[in-house]
Amino acid sequence: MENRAFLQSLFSKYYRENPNAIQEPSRIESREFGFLLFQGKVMIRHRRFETVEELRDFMARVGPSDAYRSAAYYQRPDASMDEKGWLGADLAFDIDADHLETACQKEHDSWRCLECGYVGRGKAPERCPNCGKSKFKESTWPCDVCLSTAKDELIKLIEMLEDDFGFSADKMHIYFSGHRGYHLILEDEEIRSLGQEERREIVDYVMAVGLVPELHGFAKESTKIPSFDSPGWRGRIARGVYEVMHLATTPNGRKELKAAGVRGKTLTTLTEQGENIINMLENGKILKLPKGVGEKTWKKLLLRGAKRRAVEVDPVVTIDVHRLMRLEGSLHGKTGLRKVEIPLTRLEAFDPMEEAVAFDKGELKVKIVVDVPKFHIGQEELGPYRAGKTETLPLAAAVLLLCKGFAEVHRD
Amino acid sequence: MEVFTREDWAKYPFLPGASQYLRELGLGLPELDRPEYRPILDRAEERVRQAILRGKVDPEFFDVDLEAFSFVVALMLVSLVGNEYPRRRYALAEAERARVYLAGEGVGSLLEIARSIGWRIRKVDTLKEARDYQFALSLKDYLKNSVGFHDLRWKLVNRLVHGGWVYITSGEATRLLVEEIKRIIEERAGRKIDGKVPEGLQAKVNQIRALLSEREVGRVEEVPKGVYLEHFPPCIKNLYNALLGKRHLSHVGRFTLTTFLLNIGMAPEEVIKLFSSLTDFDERITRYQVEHIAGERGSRTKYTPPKCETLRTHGLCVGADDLCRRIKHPLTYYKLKLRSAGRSKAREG
Repeated sequence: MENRAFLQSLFSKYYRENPNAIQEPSRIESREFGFLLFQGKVMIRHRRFETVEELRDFMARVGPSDAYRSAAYYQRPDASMDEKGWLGADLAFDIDADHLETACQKEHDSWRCLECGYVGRGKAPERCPNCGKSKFKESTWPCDVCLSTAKDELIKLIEMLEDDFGFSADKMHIYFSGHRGYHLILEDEEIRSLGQEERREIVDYVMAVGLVPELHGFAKESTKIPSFDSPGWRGRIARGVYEVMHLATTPNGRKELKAAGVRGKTLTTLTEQGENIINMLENGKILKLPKGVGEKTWKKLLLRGAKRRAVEVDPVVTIDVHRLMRLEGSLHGKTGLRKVEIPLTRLEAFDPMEEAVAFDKGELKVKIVVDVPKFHIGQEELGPYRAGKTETLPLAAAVLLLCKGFAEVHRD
Repeated sequence: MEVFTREDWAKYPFLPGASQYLRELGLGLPELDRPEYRPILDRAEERVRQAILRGKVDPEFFDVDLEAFSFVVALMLVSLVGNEYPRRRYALAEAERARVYLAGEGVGSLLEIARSIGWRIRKVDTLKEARDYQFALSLKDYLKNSVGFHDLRWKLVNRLVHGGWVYITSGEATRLLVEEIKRIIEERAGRKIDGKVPEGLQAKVNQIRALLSEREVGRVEEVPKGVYLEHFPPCIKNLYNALLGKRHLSHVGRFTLTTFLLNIGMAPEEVIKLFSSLTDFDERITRYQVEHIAGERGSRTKYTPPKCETLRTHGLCVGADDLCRRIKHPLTYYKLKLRSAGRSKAREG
């Protein structure tokens, strides 16, 4: 049987047997729903469901590869975009490992140039080193390190939303996306009516875009600077630059300083005399920067500090007030894992490759078509597998490889 | 909380309390034709006329009730004229008038005014909380009123934000209040008027319409044709140089450059030629895209470049120069540069 048809029947069966897997979005009747199908990869949009039962019934009948619902509320969710009657939208954040730099990307991610077929590892470059074109097919992997890096970002985001913006934790819904990241949806009357521009300001705040350290009291030499425990970005910049200076004085310091944009002689000065700046930071006063370290360099260090404390979210998701988000509880078409809600208290211990597994029973024989890195699903350590081999795998692992296109259903 | 006086209603006739007060005095549409109300009609017309001609309503007044009443009548007048331009213009001018009075208010009065128009705002304990600020404003009210400002100090990321409060000074509170007032008035001046319009008011409507069409003549702004590289804003210059240097441009980068060049009057054919310098140039696709953006194909929408805010988010803003700080859109930068270049040329000649 062809892969897609096989997956569709499997997804459909899953939804039939586990109707309650689909979580009911709040105010379901005001949400727009959208679906991607396995056959033909068509997007069905502008659907409306009065009750969660209707929705569950649809999922079981159709077995879509991916299911989405709007973060927005509409008067007529099933009307065309212009006639929907926008009533407001929750504030949504998407943290995806694709947007983060992790050391392991080179090991498990790859890309193929669509023009000449050249293959490389890690993130796709801007242009192909072989032919110079810039169209690639990228293949990523939901690896443990990437996912835990994404989780660290999520924790920073939660702290910012609570401390700076004053949102209470019980209004935040946190989800594993089913693939390589996390979603946070904030349902709060206060922000529902915010438009794109206002949301952009929130995104820029979170990502430290357009941040000017001078406006936070990091003006010139010889002045008192905000203490580490100052609220908002003040304290964050102070802690961030302290961290940067600590890293700068370690054996690997040059790398951190280069990332800050420091070059040449200044770089050496800072690695050697960084201790001085650290002392000044601890005393909350920048008396005199070392010779050769000017105000421009100081600003670079401050901005680097801010960057370390900023949260890497996908800005478009938060800004777009008509955005469709993956439906909570549904299966992800690229992994066969579920998008699941995580109680805030359990976030630290949450392991997506264990708790988001849908197909936890049975085995399946598949033919590996692309090399697969080592991974784990549930309690089981699996791989690596070589292309061309036939393997009998736990169903969840087999589905993951089928969804990723790393394997094919084995035909006897 | 009743600290407002009749004089306050004259100064701030857009406050909900003022509407309440005027309703209690009882004046309806039909009464407007009575001779004793003539001064109200006249002052209402004057308000709108000053708004259109000078962008500010004269703040001085002699009769307290007349001043407050004439505001309500002016709102009807603007609504009946029924055009977006005078409505925006009027809202702005009334907000400017209010600014004059707000500037003279103390912390206590500002707080009362802000609260009466629905803000969630509180006084700041300057000793314990934050030395340099007088108020803490809710995140939502701050964002709603500050997104239009583009000086970097108004950006949320450059503010002290804590526990859902944005800290602001009295001066900043005034500035934000003016924005809110502008919005309130624009909304109210857009409301439909029910009932028969009294003759006297209709006459004023006609006068204002006449004034508007008089000013319409000769106001068509011409965009000079021709491409002046030296007037490009820094972001566009950077994209343009990247293109010439055969460096890679992101999708948004290409879109920005294309829309910019088309909007300043470069012919689609020339834009295509320019892009042909790229190594992965595919003339058929480029032609399709450029012509689509130019509005010659597909949805026939003519696209404009993204505004500064968007460019900043996409990392295409390469750092603002002095002129950038005053504008929100790369095309405005170009137009202003052209205009000032034109002026100095005129002086030379």
